[in-house]
Amino acid sequence: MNGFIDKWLKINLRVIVLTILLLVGFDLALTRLIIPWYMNAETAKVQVSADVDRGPLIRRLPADDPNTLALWKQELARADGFTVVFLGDSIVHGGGVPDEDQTIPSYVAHHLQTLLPERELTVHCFSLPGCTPADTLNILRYIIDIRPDLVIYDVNIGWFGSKTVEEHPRLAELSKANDPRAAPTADSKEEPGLEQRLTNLVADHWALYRYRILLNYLWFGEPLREKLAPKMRKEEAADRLTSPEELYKPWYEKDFSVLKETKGKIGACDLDDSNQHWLSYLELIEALEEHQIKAAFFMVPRNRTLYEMYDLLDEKLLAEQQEKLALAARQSGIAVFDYTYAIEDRYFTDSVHLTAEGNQLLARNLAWNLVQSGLIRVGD
Amino acid sequence: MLNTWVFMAFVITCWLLYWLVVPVRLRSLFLALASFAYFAYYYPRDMLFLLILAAVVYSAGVVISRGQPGRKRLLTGMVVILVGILGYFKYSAFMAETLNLLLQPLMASKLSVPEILVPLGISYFTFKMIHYLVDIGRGNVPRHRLVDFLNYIFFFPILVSGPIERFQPFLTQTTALRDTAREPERTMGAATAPDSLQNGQSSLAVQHRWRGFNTEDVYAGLPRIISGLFKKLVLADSLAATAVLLYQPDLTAGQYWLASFAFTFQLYFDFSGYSDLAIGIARLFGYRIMENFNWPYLARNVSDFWKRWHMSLTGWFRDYVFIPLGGSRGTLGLTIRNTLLVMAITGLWHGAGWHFVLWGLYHALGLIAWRLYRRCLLPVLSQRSNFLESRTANVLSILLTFNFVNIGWIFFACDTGQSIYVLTRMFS
Repeated sequence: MNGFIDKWLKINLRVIVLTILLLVGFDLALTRLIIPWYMNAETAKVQVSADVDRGPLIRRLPADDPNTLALWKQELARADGFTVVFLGDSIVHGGGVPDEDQTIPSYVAHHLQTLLPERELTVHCFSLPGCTPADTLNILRYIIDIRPDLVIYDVNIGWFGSKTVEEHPRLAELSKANDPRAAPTADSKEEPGLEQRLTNLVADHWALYRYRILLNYLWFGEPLREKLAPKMRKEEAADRLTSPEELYKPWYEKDFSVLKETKGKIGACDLDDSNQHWLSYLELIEALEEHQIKAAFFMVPRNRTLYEMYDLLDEKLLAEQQEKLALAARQSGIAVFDYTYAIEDRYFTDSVHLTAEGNQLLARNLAWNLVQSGLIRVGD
Repeated sequence: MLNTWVFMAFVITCWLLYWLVVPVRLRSLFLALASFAYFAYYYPRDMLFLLILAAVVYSAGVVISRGQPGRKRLLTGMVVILVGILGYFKYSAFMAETLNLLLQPLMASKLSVPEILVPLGISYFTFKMIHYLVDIGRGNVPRHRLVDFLNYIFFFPILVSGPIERFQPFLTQTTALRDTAREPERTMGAATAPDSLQNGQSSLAVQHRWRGFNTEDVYAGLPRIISGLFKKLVLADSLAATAVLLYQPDLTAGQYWLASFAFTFQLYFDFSGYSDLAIGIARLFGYRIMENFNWPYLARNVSDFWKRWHMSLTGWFRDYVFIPLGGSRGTLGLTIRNTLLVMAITGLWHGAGWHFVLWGLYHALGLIAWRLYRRCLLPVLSQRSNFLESRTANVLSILLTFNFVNIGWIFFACDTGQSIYVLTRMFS
């Protein structure tokens, strides 16, 4: 091995100098060219367009690491005009579509601009696949000091029965700075350790390190580690082992027989203080109210046929549970739109994720409801 | 622990101080103190214990080296104490659990399983200390100072995960580095100063600062550090995502085979990555530490594998267990016994669990089979055909050895029950 290194990894003063120059050059390119191009600030601004097949390009968060989120937050802080922030899970993220201009936020941006052509507004997508209410709360806390003009959140009752409270535990650390509960207690005075401080220092001064996870997604689709990640559970395997082409097909062209093993009905969970998701949801509402941020929640659409096929739907139960969620939000002045059965079944790729056409339909409804309810007006 | 920013900052600071500020004669002391301080920051209790133990071992070494009566008893006693310390910290819980299992039908109450925090790097420093004392007993260690011994024990690149460096070459290098202080000025100025300092800068201060420094050490050390980080952070950590399948139930044979290959390479890249880091960092300070790996998965037989895998440990077991037991000089039966014993202990050294012992015994069987083949079958086969010397035979033997080793790693990765389950699925 040593011989191999000696042969292929020879280092001398010239190599060291060239490496440093290369790294400096790459960092400059990264901060001045690559990242601005990727974030595409200009095209992210909504343009009036006749093309409704695809909306404007709105970047969705590829990862939950602090530096990627900081970049998104920075873009939000820099945005002019009315700022709309989307929070939520893979439904908002676009789990059923391949491209970033086919997601709900993208189509909403298009429709809003069509409805209000004089309005200067930008749409920002802070959703992540697998974002539980607690994760969403953490993201909201992280960006709350920017005070977006409108927050839109997809309420997916599926999460309220999940055993995992946080699918993205890294977000909890991130939100601490803006968490009112974490402020004055003795325990919370703990400063970041030496390793963390050094990590921050390096990240602050070395763009390649700062954006390493983002670059992984940008160049390779996802980090090698995740590409190699095992697909262990059968349910997950049915969902994840499919190729992208398979993934984006309408649901009726795919086999969902694995759902036979699923027990219980959608929405069957206790919405009370014993449910951590419920408590996080209430905190989310409270945070929006406290910071006087206008918000709109929408109940995610459901593929009724698929649910009924595997006896997973109790309409009455689902309606009651969703009403409880809606009521909690409405009491704090948040508008709630119910799209549970608003989209035809043929526009689903599975039980909840929508095809591009499905996203368009939902976005058209949502944009119309936002304007109609006065959440976005021509000149506020 | 060697791939954190704090560690990197520590290495850079130490390196600058070592070559620029610390007088040459105090460099060994500086390294010992810096290493001690770094680990004491995280593990004060462990380092205090190690300091006391090192002082005791050094004192014992001084007495043994004087050749006084009773030195053999002292040496034996010290080796027993060191093995006892290793056993107490690392194997108490394992022993208690095993005894509970064995004596279950006879005993009404169970032995309590002690919860003992294992001191940092205990498997390595106890072995280094045993080697040190035994070699003093054999008269193989020259006179040296306490500070040189402490530097050897605490030397931060190799304290946590080896290689299990030998004291003599380490001391030779320490002495050589110190001796540069006594060399005439011209020696240093022309041959060993960095290029930037060779252009007419001849002030005493500058020459003193860089004395003993060799740019070649940096050029050799940096690639090893880069290679180590790449192996660990990119290759090993990525493969870990697939290797964890070995711990899952109810997978297909193909998935288990895939996971086993992933684990095989993860382990190699992880461990050899750490070794590269250790060797590279040591080289920045002017020390050449022994190699630990030499393309082990290209070994042509099990015996060859052990000459390429974790070489510092294999060498230690050969010199301090296998050969003292009689090695392979006696009858075939004795050789087989020694091989089984040494490999079982080797397995146990890697972890407190029966599956590690099984892993060791599995390799022992491989080594015995290889020995028998070489002794009984190989001469006959070689006479009949030249095939065994062909390239095809070479490739086949590499593949056979690799798969033998790959299957063995399943015992290493999983506990006994899961190992048997995975193997059953793999071959079903």
